[in-house]
Amino acid sequence: MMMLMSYQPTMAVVFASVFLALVFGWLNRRALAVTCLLACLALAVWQFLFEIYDPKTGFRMPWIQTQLQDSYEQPG
Amino acid sequence: MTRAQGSTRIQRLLALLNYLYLLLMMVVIAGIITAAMVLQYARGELPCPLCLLQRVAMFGVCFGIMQNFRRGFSYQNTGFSLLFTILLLIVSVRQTLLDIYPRPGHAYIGSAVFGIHMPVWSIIIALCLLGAYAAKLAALGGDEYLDEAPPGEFPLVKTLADILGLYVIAICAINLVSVFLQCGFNSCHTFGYRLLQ
Repeated sequence: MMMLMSYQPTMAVVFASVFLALVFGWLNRRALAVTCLLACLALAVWQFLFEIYDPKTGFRMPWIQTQLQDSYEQPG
Repeated sequence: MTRAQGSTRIQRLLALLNYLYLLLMMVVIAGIITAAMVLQYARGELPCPLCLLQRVAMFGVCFGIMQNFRRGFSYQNTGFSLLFTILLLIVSVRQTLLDIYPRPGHAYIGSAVFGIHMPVWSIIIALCLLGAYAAKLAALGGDEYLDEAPPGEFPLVKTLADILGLYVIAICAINLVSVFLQCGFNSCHTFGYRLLQ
């Protein structure tokens, strides 16, 4: 996973694949269109994982993590 | 009117409603992407990488709808649209969580529309799309009536869908050029168009 996250797919390629899927779909080239669409989905997921991955914290989101207070005082 | 004729009429009406519903969904998605492009080009609000992925997801949803008009209705096309709707939901939820706690270098990008920022709108849009598909299945039911009435049976709806399909392809082409100018072959930033500097 670490190795995968060190490579970044290009956003222009993601857009090019969805554009080709739309064009091939319009021209009734179904097999090509579906291939481009699935390639686009895979590249988009990869791009998404690359964007949200942090070498220090991984996929965690430490800024919204909460901790249980040790000295929690009951109200009243 | 015999019972068979009445049944055929109802089936045609259901098919027409189905195609109108899909056309309306595509109009809404095309309108949303167009609005985002107006904000980008008229107000200089460059999209972030996750914003761009949300546009890709919306184009993917349009692909499924367009194929229903080009080749006739298929649940495979609905599946493609739903896959990209889920992608839209996941990306927008993650982006909302990324900026939900204000800290240096992290704030919601772009203008708020009705007080809500773009990633939160994307969550609403994705949930509306899922709700729209669920409502269509619940209200219009199965697909048996669509075998009897392909999109070509309704020339006006088919023509409108073809024009809208071409429009979606055109805005996708503009986005492709724009993304290439903004990002080149490297990571995307919102500071400016990399290849124009």
